[in-house]
Amino acid sequence: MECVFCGLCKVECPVFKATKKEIVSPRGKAILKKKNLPDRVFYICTLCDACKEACPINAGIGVRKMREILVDKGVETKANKKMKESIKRFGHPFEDVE
Amino acid sequence: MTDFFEEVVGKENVSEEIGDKEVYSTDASCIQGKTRQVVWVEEAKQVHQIVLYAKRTKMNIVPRGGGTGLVGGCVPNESLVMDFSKMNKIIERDKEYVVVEPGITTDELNKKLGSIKFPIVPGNSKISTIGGMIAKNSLGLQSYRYGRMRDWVVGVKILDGTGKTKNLKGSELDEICGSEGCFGIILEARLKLINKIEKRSLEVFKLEDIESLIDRIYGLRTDKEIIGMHFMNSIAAKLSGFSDINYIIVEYEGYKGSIKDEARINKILDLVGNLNVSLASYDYRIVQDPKLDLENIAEFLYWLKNNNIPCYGQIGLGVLHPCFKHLDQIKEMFLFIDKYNPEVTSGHGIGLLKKDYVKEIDKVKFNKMKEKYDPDKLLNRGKVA
Repeated sequence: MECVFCGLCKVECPVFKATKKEIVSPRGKAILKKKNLPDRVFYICTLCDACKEACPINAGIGVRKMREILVDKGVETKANKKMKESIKRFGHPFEDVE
Repeated sequence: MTDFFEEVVGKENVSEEIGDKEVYSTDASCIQGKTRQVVWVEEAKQVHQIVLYAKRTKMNIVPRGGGTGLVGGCVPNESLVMDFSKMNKIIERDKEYVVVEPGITTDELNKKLGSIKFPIVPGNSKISTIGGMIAKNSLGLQSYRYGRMRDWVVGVKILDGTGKTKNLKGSELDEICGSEGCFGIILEARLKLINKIEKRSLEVFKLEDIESLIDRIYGLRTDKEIIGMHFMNSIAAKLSGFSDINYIIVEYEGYKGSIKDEARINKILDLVGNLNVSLASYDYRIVQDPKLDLENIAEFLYWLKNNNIPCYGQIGLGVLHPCFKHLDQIKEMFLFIDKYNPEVTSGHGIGLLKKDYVKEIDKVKFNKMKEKYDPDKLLNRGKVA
């Protein structure tokens, strides 16, 4: 199902709860996706899927796909780059597990 | 400008970023506007400073709550969007009244109140804010018994378009409840409370034809134990996963209804409260809310059926929510129901979507009030009339 922008997901989103900013809410991300505006905000998501559970129609936002688009465009976070480097060197993303 | 706002609300509470501007340029109506800037306010003093600045610079402001409106009520018009999500505290409370900031949601409020409650609980109570609900004079799922916001608001502190703080009560509240953020920004509201209903039940009536549906409504109307009376026509029911038949779902105080299990009641009422969302997923995104006298409902229901239009609503109050796919269908609907002299809105508001259908007498009244509260037209510019 596609998002219909009702906003009911906001209340369950841990990131929205902490920031109260619409752009980080699942609806905010869905609006940016619809407008074809990949933004760094797609990295601000715990991937917990609480939004999908709260959604009356079970709509998904597609955050992973948007992150793929961002990576293809070279838009990455420092943590992302560090994880990739670690996977190349150690075979896992954590670099130092101590 | 940005420097001024940053000084007032802090750097983290101001944005001119494209992403923020795009997200705040719309609401649940999906109508598009244009955002100039976004500020997140946390206290009344900040709102005051910003309104005075807006007055000096002729900038227009759109106050925004949960962004749940279905008529574009908080869609900006090259505006500064003022988000109230962070201004959500309970200021004071006792057993009968509570004073709240506008950004609190009904669910947050009722959770904090415990055994007493605020009775206007809309279907989207998890995110709709008290400020937004006063602005729309909203209904709740139990409005059959409890009426609408105006019936439960006993005082409101606003900041009008001239930058003056006003404490409104009594008949002045008739002017601000339902004014859609066009006359003043709500800073505080004093609300009446009730004791929570401990025992309740539901009854689901399935009705083949419109005659038996109307007969059933007339039969139920004298029952004092009814709290809520919900309806969906067979088209809305089928699309939402129910049987292909007309439904009346009655919520009772006490155990008169056959469904007594609280979890099941909540599940059914959740489905009822989210019907607009399930219908929107089938592209019926334009939700209307005319209010008709009961004697005219049957003809309207036939019209909806003949045009294959899904519809739900609080039928005991004469409030119906036909859902459309295309804007021109709103015009067709008003052409049909005009002879019944309906109320154009019963709680969703006029916003941008229904401006063409506001009666002349109401436009004159609105403009007179606008002149009184906001002569420079700084607040929610371009809405209603």
